[in-house]
Amino acid sequence: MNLATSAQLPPDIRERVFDVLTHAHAPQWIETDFEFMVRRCFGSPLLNQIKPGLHLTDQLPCLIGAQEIAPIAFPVVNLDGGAIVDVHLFESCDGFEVLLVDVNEQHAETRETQQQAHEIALLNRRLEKLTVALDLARTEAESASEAKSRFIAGMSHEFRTPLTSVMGFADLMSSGVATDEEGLSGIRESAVYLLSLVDNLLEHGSSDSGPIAVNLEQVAPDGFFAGVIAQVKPLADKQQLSLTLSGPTDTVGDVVIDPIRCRQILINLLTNAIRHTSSGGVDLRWQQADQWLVIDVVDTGCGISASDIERIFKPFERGEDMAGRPGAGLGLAISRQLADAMGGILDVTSQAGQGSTFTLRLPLAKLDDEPKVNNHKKQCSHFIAKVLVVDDDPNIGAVLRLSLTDAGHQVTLCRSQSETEQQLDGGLVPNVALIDLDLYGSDGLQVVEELRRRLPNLSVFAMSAAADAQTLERTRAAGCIGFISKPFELQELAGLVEKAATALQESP
Amino acid sequence: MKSFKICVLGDFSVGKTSLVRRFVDQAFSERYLTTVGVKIDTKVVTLPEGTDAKLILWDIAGADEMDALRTNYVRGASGIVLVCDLTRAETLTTAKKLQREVASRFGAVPLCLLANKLDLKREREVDDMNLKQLTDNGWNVFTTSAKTGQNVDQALIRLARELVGLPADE
Repeated sequence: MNLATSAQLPPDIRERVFDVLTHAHAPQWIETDFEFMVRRCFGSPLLNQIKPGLHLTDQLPCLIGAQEIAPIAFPVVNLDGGAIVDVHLFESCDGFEVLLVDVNEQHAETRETQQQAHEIALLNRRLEKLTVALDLARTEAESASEAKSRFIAGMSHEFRTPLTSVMGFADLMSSGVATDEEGLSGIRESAVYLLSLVDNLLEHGSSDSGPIAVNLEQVAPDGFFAGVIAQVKPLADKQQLSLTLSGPTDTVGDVVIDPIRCRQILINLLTNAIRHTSSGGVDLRWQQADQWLVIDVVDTGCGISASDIERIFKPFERGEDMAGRPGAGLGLAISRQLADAMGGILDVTSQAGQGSTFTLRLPLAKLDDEPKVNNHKKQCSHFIAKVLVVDDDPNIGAVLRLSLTDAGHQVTLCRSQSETEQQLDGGLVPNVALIDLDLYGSDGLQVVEELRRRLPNLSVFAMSAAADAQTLERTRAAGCIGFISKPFELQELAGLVEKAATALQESP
Repeated sequence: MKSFKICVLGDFSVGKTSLVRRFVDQAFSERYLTTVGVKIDTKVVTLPEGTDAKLILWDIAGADEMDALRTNYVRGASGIVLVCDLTRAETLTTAKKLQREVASRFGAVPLCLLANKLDLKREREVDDMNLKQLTDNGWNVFTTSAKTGQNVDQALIRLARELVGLPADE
């Protein structure tokens, strides 16, 4: 029934219809003047404080300004107190008629459904975001996993190649096919490569477990860089590349750097440069600029494409053009981590086919206390020391005994704690002791403590392949005056022994 | 004292009701309660020039379009507050769409955009560049937080000043 047909109804029927609708919807009917001043109010008390003489807009602010848009209906208006009404506004000849219809029940279900729908939509959206984030994480994990798989596959090759070379040269030397010079050069070259490989692997493993320790020392740069060059020279010679070192022409004083970390970076950069250069050469250039030590490794090699420049500094990642070339994809990543740890910067400028320049900038530090032993200054003394070497590895023991004996010292070699104690019981009184911390069946530090107990003036050096900060601290606490990290340069080792023995002789 | 009908429009769950509650009652609730229909609140703001303005705030149930129901609510509005959620980029798209629909039905109505949930910094999807494009096109844009109250009063007072014909800044 619409308004037109209802108007044609007989008045009594219309009144009945009105009664039915009123009963069904319980509306409130309010008559106001043109300013919404209430004149009359009847029906259900939906707005129960409405009385004649009050402004309807005080309780029904939706009517403010509505005079100009009447007739109008505002459905589903939430009133203070929780009621929900449809508001109908009609203009009459002397004011307005306002009809309020309670729609609370109809909308209770709507509200609940809407609330659930919105909450589900929000949850779905969160789920979508999580799914995207998970997909991204999974892709990254897969990429990392693939890189590691490639690394393991490549690593087998990386280790086997130099080991094959070592074994091959040893056989050739034994059979007399290769001269000692040829054989030893080949073995040393392979050993240097293996050492850098192991250093990088260990560094990569330890970088996951905490910050990289930096140990600053005073270093003579000329000797330091010459030592680095000497270490990689056999590689360059083998490829018939020039390998040059250039530094300031003026005399430059000692610099304070972490020589082990710095050497590790430079060995990585130089071996990379040599590997990727087929003709021409590699130049190591260094200078002091303000408070920085700036070192360039410049090569005339294959260069690096722009797309690979950042990639090559990521672990296990290598340039697109590097397939088939040796390298584990760790050296540059480790080198950049080490440079960061020292407060430095490692960067590269390169173009494919145009060679590369890797630049390492290290801040020049100052030592607060006395400089540590300078490993790169040649020692000069004729003092003959009595050296006790305790190492369970017969080859290492033999190398130490031969080397120190050759330097003029008297060497006693023991392989265990018990053998050491027997020697001491038998009257051995050494000046210097080199103790391996990783003795089979006992802790080398116990040997150190026993020696220090019996011979308080003895100079004891600890030796180990695990040169972490905790081990260093333990050796210091046990009374060692120095730590020798394996592998070591025999010349440096001899210098340390010489210096320690000389110091003992000169002490009162 | 002049009264101004201001309609608050935006997608669902962008924080329209929370913004009105923050502005009117200085309160906030973490619980999300959907609005059905419209909730109307009033607040008298006293502007520094001595002018009072009564703001009738129509907090309209969230939707992504101006249907017949919402068109009826907006009829006679003096100003529009559009709200989007900084943590859901699509709600900014909705706000722009609603602005176009309001403009096509009712002409130029003073409006401002409140980019809400500024406190959820880590979940933010709408960046400042997105908002700057709107500012460059003449929109009054405020990043707000109904939770902390950041910029809520400033945004609505700025709109009130425009409605009473005062310059934007004091």
